[in-house]
Amino acid sequence: MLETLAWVGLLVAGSAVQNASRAGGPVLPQTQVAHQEKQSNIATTGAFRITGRVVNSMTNAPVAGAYVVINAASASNFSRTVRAGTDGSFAFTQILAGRYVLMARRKGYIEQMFLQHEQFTTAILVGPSLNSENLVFPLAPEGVISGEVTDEAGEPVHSAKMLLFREDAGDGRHMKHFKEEQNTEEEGRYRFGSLPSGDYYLAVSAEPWYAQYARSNSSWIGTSPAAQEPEIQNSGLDLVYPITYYPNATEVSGAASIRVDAGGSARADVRLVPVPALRLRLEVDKIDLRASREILVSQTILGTYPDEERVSSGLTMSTAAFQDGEDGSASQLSGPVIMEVDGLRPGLSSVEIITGEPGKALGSDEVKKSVRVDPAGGQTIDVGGIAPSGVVSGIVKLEGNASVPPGVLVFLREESSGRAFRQDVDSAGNFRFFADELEPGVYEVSSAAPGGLELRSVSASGTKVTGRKIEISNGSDLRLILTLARGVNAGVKGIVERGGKPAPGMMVVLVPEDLRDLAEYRRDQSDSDGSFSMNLVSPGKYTVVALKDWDLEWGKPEVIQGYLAAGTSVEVGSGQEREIKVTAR
Amino acid sequence: MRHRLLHLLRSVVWVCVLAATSCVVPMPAEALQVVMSPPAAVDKSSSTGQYTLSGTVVDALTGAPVRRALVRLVGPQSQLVLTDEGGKFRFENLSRGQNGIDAQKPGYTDSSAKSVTVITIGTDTSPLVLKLEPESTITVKVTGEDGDGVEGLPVRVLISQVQEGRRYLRMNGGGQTDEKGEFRAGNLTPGKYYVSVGPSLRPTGHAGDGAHESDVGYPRVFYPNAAELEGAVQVDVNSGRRARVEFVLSTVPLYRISGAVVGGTLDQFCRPRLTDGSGVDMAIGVRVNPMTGMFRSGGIPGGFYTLVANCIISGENSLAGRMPLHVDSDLGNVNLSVAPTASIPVIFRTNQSGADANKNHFLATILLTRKPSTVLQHGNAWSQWEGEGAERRVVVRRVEPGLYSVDIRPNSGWYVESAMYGSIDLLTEDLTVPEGGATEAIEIALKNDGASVSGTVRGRGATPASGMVLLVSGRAPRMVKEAQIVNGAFTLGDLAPGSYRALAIDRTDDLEYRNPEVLRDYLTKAQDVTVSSKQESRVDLELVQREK
Repeated sequence: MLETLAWVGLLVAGSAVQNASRAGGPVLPQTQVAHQEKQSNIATTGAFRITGRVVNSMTNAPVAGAYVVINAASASNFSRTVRAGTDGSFAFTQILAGRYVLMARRKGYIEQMFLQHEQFTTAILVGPSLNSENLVFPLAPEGVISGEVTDEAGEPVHSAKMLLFREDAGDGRHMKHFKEEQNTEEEGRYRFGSLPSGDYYLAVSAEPWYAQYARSNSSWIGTSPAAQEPEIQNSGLDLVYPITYYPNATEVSGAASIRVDAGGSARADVRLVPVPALRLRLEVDKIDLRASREILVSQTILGTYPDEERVSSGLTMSTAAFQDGEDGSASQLSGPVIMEVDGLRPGLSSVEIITGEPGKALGSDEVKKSVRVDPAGGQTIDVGGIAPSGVVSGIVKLEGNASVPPGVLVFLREESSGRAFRQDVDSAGNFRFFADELEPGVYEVSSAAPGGLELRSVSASGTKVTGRKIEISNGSDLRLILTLARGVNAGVKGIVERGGKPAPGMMVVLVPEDLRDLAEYRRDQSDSDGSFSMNLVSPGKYTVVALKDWDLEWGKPEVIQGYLAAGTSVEVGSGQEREIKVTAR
Repeated sequence: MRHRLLHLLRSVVWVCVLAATSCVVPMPAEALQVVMSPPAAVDKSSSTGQYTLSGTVVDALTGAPVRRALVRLVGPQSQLVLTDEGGKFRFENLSRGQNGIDAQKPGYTDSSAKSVTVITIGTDTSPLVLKLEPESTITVKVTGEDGDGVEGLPVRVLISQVQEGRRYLRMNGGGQTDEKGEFRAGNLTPGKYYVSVGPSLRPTGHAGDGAHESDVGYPRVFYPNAAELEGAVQVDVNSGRRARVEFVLSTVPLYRISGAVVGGTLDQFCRPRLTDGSGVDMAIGVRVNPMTGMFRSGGIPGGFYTLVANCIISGENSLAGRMPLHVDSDLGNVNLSVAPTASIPVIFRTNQSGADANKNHFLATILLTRKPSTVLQHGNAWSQWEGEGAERRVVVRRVEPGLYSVDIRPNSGWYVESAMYGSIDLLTEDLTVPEGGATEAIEIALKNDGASVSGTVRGRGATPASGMVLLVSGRAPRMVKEAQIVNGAFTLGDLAPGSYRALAIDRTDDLEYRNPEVLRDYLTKAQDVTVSSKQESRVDLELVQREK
């Protein structure tokens, strides 16, 4: 069954929910799970037991003192924690019949759900003639990647941003996903703990500590390129570190994977070598003096992580302000205005120019323009010639004109790269994406809403709509209308069997008729009685397969094709729930 | 050119509302930096100068040379260089004259934030020795009841600090303990620090006999073993000192607070948070169900808390509420009422009118500080002025009900003639923002016919006096203008006509000189000076030396 660890995330105060979230396969309504009220201490006693042993997944040795938690998967909000004995054994007694999610944690191990794969787990069914005893809960010891970052003189680099990526098949094909980041401490060291086994990639984003003194701290603003002068003479210290991939590669092609086994540790040291910093000149159009202005330069690391490199903001200065000395009435401009951003790294960068509305507070109404450029060219970019970034905005409506409940999310997922973006919907049902964070391409629109609401239809002005797909091109505004309704989507549930017995822990994949239609795939993991359940299924024809190999690239048509013959066909109509039996391979 | 830019940047009214949205007060160090690095355009003649400047950078504690330290010339001549393997540096082609110089390197205290050494470049310039103070660190180790290090426990390092004459408690480092239960706060300036650990971000276990069960976790503890700031002992960190503090903690029962935020509507997302008695955020997660508006906290140890909510509403308005709580069991049905925050209009008027008015920026910063304020928080909010001519307006938004001190800082060339909220004189009294919002506007009159006072300061012995000159308004003792003593002299401008008490003090870095109670003892040594508009007055002062 599907479970999220959202509880942990929400407990950390101030943990910002990223707006651009990675797609975890088909978009799932995680908010519903996250906002469920969980309560402990409710006197709920029954006649059943869940017992078992926590063992080290590598050695099978008992994990003494592990904390084991059960949460009822039903609406009863029941939760209980026990601590495993010295032999790793645990027992929950006097519990009611039902479906429970198990979780275990212990220092030195990864906190995980029972037989966890990605966000899936095998839930334990408790009741008459169900076996919920003598479970073996394998807990994987944590993997560690640690190391040191040094500079060109062999000295430690502190506050270097270490970006860790992991390759997995969670989106149906092997892809590198950003996992987490941290900064090196004063002695240049870093340590990523609690890592599941896998193949990792490491990128370093850092700046020489002395470089900030070798350049001005704000963007230079003037009226002619000739007026530009380096502020500090010939120091030779205006340097930058290119994005550096383990092992010491400054091109993505040179990045090597770091293999971490369960309980294993890998050492990855990186040495940074500086190169001269680049400057970029922007010729901006005439602006009202009171308009706020911000320039943001970023590079995308391993295709997924936007690394903000240089931000500068300030007010622009008019020609009059320069020429008329003390006359400060500088709200009229004549001629182009040049802004300059310094301290840039070589390589393809995305430059965003954000202009506020005159007289309004920063962050209210903004005009964004963005352009991709390699600053190595030393060119002046005429920003006036670039069309403002388009805005993908829209409204969510409910069938029957009911008001939109809070907590509705809208997702856009780019077909070829799999990158997903998410926005909250306000109380009036409006949402808004900036198109400059969305590369041109074909996007699948989806929505997550509480209360069994499902996306029924998508319409748009400004682009073509095919089903739930829209095309986004640079610079044009799009307006979407999403209609939600109750219970449009179907469900498929059933039992996985193997040799005539229920098969827990299998990856169950609902494969649409069109194998390339990634958005219509659904997955689940079979529970202790072999049961599985997949919701939010669009009406249509499918094949359901059950697989043992969680590393399978199920999203590749040529891969999944070979498994379909052994699968179970099912056709679901609108609002239907079908029940089937699937045989595991 | 750069100079003009700074000037223009000031043509925006910065509105900071402490506590409500919180803000950063510009550091005095920045002001110094501006003085020390005037027009950024490099003096062209400097590259043709004939003088050289060389020296060595050494570790102040060991005397050993420091390689790859950055040495900066700041001031009329700007240059940068890294020291060689022997810690040596050399600048060439310099012109004669005074210039600033400093050195820095990671692992050493950043001296440039405090002071820049002024040197004279000329024929007889001898090699310099620049000393770097090794930075101080506090290493925190937390051991749990099982004897293992406690991982992932929040750690805070706070310093009680005086800034611009006001005392604040300021976060100076923080994070979480690592897998060994350790956390290291580096780059600390010498001083006295409070260290706190905890509370656990999530339960570490479960205790009970079946009948009374609860989650347990580690409480928040101030070094050495205090629940609140009051019982805490400061850790004294000297230059280059590596202090180590250890905590041995036992778990305590954790309780949960649940209830609802009332007074708003469901589409106004209100996430309550918990602070301790001093206003320090406890970093305890509070979950809100957006469909019902119900909230539920993570487990918290027993104690006294304040539940605070600031509701985010798009646009200009917001709701806020706060409520003290004594927690010694699970608390349900806690109803936190929120009420609209105030938007207080501020009207600036000047004695100028017509075309003249547009030529000058008669603008000011207005800062509202919620009382009692012990914690200086970061982040800022600002708003732009509207209007033309001799009257301009700005609105301070999202002000929670409460008591505020109002600080108005006009731009150069102006002084505050009066600041009124209805009949309340904000120069001498605090502003009470009632529940339900403010009803009046703050009216501020600015004038540009200020007086100036300059003079000399006599120190003891042959060295020129250094320190600060404070000018305390006779009308409003909380209004203090300050100026650095440079080469035994000082100048203070933009003074409202009236009487003042002038005082020269050698050390003000830890003196709460904007607190009339603290300054009272020193004022007996002050000299009276009275100025009328546009008067240029002189007064010579004797340096008051504070005991160390």
